[in-house]
Amino acid sequence: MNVTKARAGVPTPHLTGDGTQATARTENSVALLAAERNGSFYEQTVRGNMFCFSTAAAGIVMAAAANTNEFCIWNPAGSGVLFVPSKLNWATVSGAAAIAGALQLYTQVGMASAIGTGAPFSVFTDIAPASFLGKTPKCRFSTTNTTTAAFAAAFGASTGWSVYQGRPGTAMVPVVFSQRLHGVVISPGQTLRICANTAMAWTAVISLWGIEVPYPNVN
Amino acid sequence: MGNSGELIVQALNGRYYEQALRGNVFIYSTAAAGLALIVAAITGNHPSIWNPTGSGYNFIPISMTLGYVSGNNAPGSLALFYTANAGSAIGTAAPVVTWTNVAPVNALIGGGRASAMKWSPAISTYTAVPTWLCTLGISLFTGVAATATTPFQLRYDFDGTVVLPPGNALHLTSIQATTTAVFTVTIIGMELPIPPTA
Repeated sequence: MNVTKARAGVPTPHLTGDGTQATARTENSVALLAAERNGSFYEQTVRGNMFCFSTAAAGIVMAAAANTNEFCIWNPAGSGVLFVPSKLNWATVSGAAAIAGALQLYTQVGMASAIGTGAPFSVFTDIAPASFLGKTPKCRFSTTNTTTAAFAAAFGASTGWSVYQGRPGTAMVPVVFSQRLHGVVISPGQTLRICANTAMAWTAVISLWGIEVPYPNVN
Repeated sequence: MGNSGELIVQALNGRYYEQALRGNVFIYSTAAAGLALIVAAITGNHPSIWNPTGSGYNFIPISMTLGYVSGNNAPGSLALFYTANAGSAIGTAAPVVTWTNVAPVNALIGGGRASAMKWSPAISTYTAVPTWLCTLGISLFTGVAATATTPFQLRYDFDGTVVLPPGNALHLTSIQATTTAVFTVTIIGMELPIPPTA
């Protein structure tokens, strides 16, 4: 690739038409000039690797981390993919006054791939994630699940989302919680759970968009 | 190159400039008077974008913004629903029974091609209730026009997470009972030829 290097105050050539030989340009600090053509996750989405994991429209009651009935994405052992959570949306449905708390990410390791007595999951009621592109997800999703005590969820990270004792019936401004997630990879045999740090008494809907990436060779 | 051997880049134009310049970006808006956002139902009337079968394009939503007009919010939140296998025909036996089509505006203002999508910010009805897809993370409380609160912005960035192929429709709804709150809604999205993918 030919690159035209800029000099301070002297713009590099530009405005080449379609079908002509183009030369990449740098800006005055010699960074390569670039443009994001589509949305950040478009390429993975159009290839069918992006899935939407949503609670039902009726939502779930935001509970403190426990071993039952939480928003849980499970990358089963042997799936052959890494799960990369990418975007998290959270919104209220109803509820009484909230108990002050925060929304957090929890993880579990060693969750294998089987369900049953003696397995890490004794109950896991699947909800099919959504995709418009036709691929079948390798990860499993549930809001009705029971974990054997030995595999309790561990705190992973705060989402940065906190509430005080507001209630859905309070006259206050609308609230937007939609956040891109960076730097989290869920390997086979692990789960990602979304729950509160205390029982919040609110019923909420949660949607998490995530990418399934074939397991790469890494050093 | 950076100290770690990474290629250092700098954005030249705003995001989506190249697609807008090429006439691939469209603006889908309600009338300035706005509308009430309601629950998903066959009676419809949700702001909806329908990519008809045979369009030859994928629809990729970029952003959605809402502007408050009037009325009282009901506690709840906003969500996306969809209609799969929506075909391309409108009629009694079709998935889309009625549809009030409004032409979107090409973001290459005054130029660009016509949209291959159908956009209904008004009356539309369906044979089946649309299917739940996801929350948009926008929660509404009982604020009213006379409530003394801070200004707020209602905006959602899709970040490329949704691609709507031909034969599907996307609907903006409330998950709670119909409210009297009226909002203007603007969705900005790209229409790109369907690419060959491995």
